Amino acid sequence: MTFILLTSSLTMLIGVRAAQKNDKAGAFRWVMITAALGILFAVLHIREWMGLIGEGATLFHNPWGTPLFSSFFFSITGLHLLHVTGGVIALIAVGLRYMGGRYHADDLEVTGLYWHFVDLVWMFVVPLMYLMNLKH
Amino acid sequence: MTTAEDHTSGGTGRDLAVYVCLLVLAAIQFVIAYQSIDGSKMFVRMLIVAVIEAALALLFFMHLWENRGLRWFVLIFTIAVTLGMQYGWTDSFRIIDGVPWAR
Repeated sequence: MTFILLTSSLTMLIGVRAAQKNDKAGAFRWVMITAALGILFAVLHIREWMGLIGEGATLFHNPWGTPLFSSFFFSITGLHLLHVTGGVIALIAVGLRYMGGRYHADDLEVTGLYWHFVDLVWMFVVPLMYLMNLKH
Repeated sequence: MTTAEDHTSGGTGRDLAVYVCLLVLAAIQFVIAYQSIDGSKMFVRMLIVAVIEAALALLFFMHLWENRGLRWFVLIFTIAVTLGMQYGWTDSFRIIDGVPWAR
């Protein structure tokens, strides 16, 4: 999932650079690839959640330890997932309007800044929520 | 306000190099996670790597590198907020005793 999100930041950068060179089709293609990677991330995340819920983990119940961790895990990853979903919608909407001529390269860049921010937050979520809690 | 045309410096080669660096740093976090060290040491190491990753993303993906004034503003502001949080963040010990790390 980290690999997918980092790669999506790179594809977004390529899309913005294409837009700056007035390559409309290229920019649109790369922005849509970014949105597709965002959707893939969200699907994998929901699949992970379903697995955990299937094992008995909920917002208020944690079969492996303190319920507080479960609350934190679902709240933090859920908020991040909400931002990813919002970002995917924004990418598709801005990409389509850019193709239609209503938006410009600057608008794609601003959407890209938001997307990189979502990626940046994930860089802290992974070590603090996932890796710090590995059982050796 | 800077425009998209202002951010053409660097090129895709630099973006790719930063991307590879981020992947390597993410891999380092996994290596740290499997080390037999206590929680506080692991937390510090994880946080240092995460801050480096975030700094790279901010500087090169979000174009902070290309705006010197904003770069200094973000650095000074971040340090000020972090120090402010260190002495103003409410935790249970602080609420009881009125000072940080009272116990």
